[in-house]
Amino acid sequence: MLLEPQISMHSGFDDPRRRSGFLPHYYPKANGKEAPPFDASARNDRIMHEFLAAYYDLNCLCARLLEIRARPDSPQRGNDERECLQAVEKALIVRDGLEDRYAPLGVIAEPVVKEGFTEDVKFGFGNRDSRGRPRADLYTITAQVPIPLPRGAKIENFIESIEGPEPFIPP
Amino acid sequence: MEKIVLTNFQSPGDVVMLTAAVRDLHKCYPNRFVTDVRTGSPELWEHNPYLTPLDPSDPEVRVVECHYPLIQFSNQRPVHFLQGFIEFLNEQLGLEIELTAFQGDIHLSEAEIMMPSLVKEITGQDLPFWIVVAGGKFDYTIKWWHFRRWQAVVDRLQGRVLFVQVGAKQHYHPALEGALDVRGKTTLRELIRLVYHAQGVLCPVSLVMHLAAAVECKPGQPGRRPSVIVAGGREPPNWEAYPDHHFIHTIGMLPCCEQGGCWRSRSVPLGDGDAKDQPNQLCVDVVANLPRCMHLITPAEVVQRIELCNRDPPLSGPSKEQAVGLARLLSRRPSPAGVIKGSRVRGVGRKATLETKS
Repeated sequence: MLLEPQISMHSGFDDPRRRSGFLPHYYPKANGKEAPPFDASARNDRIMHEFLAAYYDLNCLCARLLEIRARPDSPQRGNDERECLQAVEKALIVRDGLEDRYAPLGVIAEPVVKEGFTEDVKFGFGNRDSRGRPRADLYTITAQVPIPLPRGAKIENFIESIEGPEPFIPP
Repeated sequence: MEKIVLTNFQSPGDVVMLTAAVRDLHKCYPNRFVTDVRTGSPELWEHNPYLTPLDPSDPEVRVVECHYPLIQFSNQRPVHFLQGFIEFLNEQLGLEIELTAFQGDIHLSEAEIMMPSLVKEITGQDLPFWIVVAGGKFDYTIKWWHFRRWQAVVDRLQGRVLFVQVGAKQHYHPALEGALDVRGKTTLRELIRLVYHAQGVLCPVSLVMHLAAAVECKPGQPGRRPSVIVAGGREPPNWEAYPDHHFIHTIGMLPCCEQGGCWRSRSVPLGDGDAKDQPNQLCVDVVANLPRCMHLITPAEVVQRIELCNRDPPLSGPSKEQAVGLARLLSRRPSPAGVIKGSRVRGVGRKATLETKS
């Protein structure tokens, strides 16, 4: 039985993909693939949404910072840079808060960063293995076990009944 | 001589306890038994002098599936995990095996001892180091200390202790900055070799804790390996702790563990279908996303214990020259927004100023 986690999801989450002026090239991938759709309701998908949104905001701020620094030096540029850095700090605090909130669930979200921009986030979850299967699922394993019979013997002499699929009996 | 095959397919840490039982079976009853084992961790038994290959299907061989029901009395009796399988074998075989050494029984070959450490293979230098385990398996998440607290310990001992982070790839082990990252890069046998070379071990109650006690120390090092264990209130210290380990527990400090270990499994449900998500297996007092017992253990206390382990001689990490070469090998978290060297963030012990490069 899958129980709902006690850790509450972030209420009032604002998916940046719904915002006006959304810049898709700053929205990272998730495990190398496109992010789950914004109406995905599975818990792990919603956790991914939150982290991806945090890294999207960081990417936008990074772009903003680079744009400010490209300007000629001036008191205004200094003020703008300081404000942008403060915004980056706040965004990092949001990101760290997500890590703290979901750590008990075994969530790891490692960014793949290139030249300051997060291009991808590698996610790991406590309730799913790397293939996305529930960790505690019972798995069925089959194996072929050849049992050589003595020369001349017939399988009917050894086995009264066989449960399951018909065995392969060589001619 | 009686032929027995002992079987157990529990976690590797449990199997280390079985190595003690096999050792002491032979020490207490020499030349009476021929023993072999079948476990999920055959690497723990390599070079074991007490094993002889046996065929479990041989009618002369008795197969004994091993358990440790003694754990049911861990809060009531002064017993250690090492006695768990011993007592079980005593009941099954009608014996009076006694524990002869306060450790498991792991053996390295001469060739393994002569091999350079994994740290030397990676760094090119024979540096002293501590092993750190900053996570754990998913079955017992209640044993996890918060990753920022492990990080705070690493940060505070930067330059004085080289930490080597280990952890199985399929388990929960968030990366620690400033540590040499070998997560998912060691077999069990390589982990044993790494423990052999380690000056000390910092970890939760785990396989590595048991290996720290069971694996011999290098010549020239103290006879026992300093270890600091972040334990909390789950397991009673009499059951888990080794006499020379700094076993940081909170038994008796909280209502939920005032009578002994709580033995609960998870902090919060993982939603993986495991029975350990049931309410009777969950922590009853979670604070700041940690079991309160783990929340009570601070990085400062852990740092102090590590320093106490190393008073004479005191901690001496890599030299300045060694550190220069080492810096590029240590784990560094990629910096979103690129030019930020550090950030003033929430989190225990993180305290770097915001720096920028123009």
